[in-house]
Amino acid sequence: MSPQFGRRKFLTSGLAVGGLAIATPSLLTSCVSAGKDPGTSGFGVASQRLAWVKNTQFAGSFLADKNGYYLQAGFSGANLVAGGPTAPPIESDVLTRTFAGVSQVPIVASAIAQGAPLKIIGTVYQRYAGCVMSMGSAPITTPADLYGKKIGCASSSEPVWRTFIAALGLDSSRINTVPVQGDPIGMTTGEIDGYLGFVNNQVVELRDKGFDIRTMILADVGFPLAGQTYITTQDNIDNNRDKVKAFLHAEIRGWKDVLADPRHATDITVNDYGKDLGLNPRTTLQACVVGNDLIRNGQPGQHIVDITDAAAEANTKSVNAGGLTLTSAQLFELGPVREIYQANPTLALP
Amino acid sequence: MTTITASPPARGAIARGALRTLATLGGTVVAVVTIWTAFIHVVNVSPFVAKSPLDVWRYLVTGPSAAANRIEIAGNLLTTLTDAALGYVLGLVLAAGVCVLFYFSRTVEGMFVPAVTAMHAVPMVTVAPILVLIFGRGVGGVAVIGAAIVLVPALLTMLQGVRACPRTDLDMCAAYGGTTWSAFAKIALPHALPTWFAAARVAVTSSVVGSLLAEWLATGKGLGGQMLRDANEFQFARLWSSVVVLTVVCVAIYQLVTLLETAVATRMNPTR
Repeated sequence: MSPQFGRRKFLTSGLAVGGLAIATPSLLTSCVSAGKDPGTSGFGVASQRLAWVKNTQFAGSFLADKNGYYLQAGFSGANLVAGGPTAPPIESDVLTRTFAGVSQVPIVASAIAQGAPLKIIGTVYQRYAGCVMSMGSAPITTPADLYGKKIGCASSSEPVWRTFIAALGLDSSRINTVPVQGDPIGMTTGEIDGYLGFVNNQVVELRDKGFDIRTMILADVGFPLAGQTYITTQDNIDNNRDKVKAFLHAEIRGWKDVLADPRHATDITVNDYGKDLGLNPRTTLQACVVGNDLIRNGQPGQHIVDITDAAAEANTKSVNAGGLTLTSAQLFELGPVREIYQANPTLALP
Repeated sequence: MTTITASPPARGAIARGALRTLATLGGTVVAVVTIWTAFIHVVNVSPFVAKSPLDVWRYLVTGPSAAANRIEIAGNLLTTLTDAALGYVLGLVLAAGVCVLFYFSRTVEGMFVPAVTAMHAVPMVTVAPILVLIFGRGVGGVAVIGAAIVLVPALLTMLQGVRACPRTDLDMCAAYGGTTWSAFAKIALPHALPTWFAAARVAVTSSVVGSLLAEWLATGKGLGGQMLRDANEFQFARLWSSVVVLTVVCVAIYQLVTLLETAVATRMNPTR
């Protein structure tokens, strides 16, 4: 062995020591209480399945990776698994492949109702980004305006849409819901009167093309629903609680950076993580700014990624309107995120 | 395996045929169930998503709400089969019409066959929204989307059939003063029957694909609409069960067309 102990070996061990030196302080801060094995890589890779393609909806995670927050939290790196129209269900990936995932409350609720051992451990958006889009010439601004209208809805949004109609006690037979996958071009030609889109996606795109688009955010008209929910397995909450906290800690720091500098978050999304998507920098920035608006709840000292018990209760009530009978405790596990803020009061927004 | 030795010749042949069919069917079912089960064990997918044959059986037959589940799927199946029938009929009628047109004009054929073939390479998922804008979300839109999927493969098969008839037969018809039309109706078309039936058989499955696509993109109804909702609402037992039901029904219809083909072929078999 000794004759082989040359420059290369020296370099690799040097790198390993260096890596350890970088990882150690974060290990100390993030898991002092735990008797966790303080191995070289700590918690391993922070893998999460994203709800959609790598657009600005996940900028917080990009910045957590880019700025080393995952490493500082005790992870050896991050694996952000993109979703998209052809990707397998998020819940399936979280149950088998990834540590965490980003999903929507109604879908997680549906999975939990079927016995899937999952929990929502935090939500990025205080308000779900889904909205009924309509043209300025025939605006839909209240739920009652929906009657007699033809509303396009992508199949991925249909659970939310049907729950919304049930929660508000609307008569679904008086709303003509038709499938429109992807682009709501039909709205601009009059084929449909409205489209269930996202304020930080299709709305931005169409407005950028010069259309006069009105929006009615579902969460603003009597359907309290959070968006971009972090989910993980019950097993992780029970047996890897510190890892769950480390993950959320890194995410919170990433999202704080997005709130502080949406322009930088846009640059990272367009030029780095979402490079293959050929995103338009102008609309991506607008989408990011709109998204930031959904993250903030308007209160000083907000704990982002956390939601109040009252909000969790309201969310549960919203999804139960679709026929489920879940309790807020079956759906949410907000202990870890709150412990993070207890241990790190400075994480709160100013 | 299924050798029957001591039976009268005629009855024995029928019994043998029936037995062979049964054995084939049984073998197919066993093979599919085995591969399905093995696949689920091999791939790393949550059992909440990847349902086993047993889960499907439970959902459709033995589970507490199996009867209600069956009624629900049957209702959607009926819608899908109606949608498929629309695309099937329109697609085959169009294919036959265009085929005849091409038969009588090599120029038109030369002009359009490459374009038609190339059109088939454009994914229907991208074209369908435009067809919806033009033909609407009713019967028209569904029929056109279904037909668009059925048309090209059926047309090419049919064309090959009418073109493949022996030159000598056509020459004889011409020698006896027959018109081009009578050559077509009396020689080329009967000669093409096997291939036209092959086109009709293949169209069974493609028309079902077309109907699912139409339901996904235009109507949101039927099994197509429901299966897509299932994937988003975590109703995977219903999704897998729907796939199984649809597959079985497709096989049954395919067999039915094959039966019809055999009957017609026996009647029309050219004596040579």
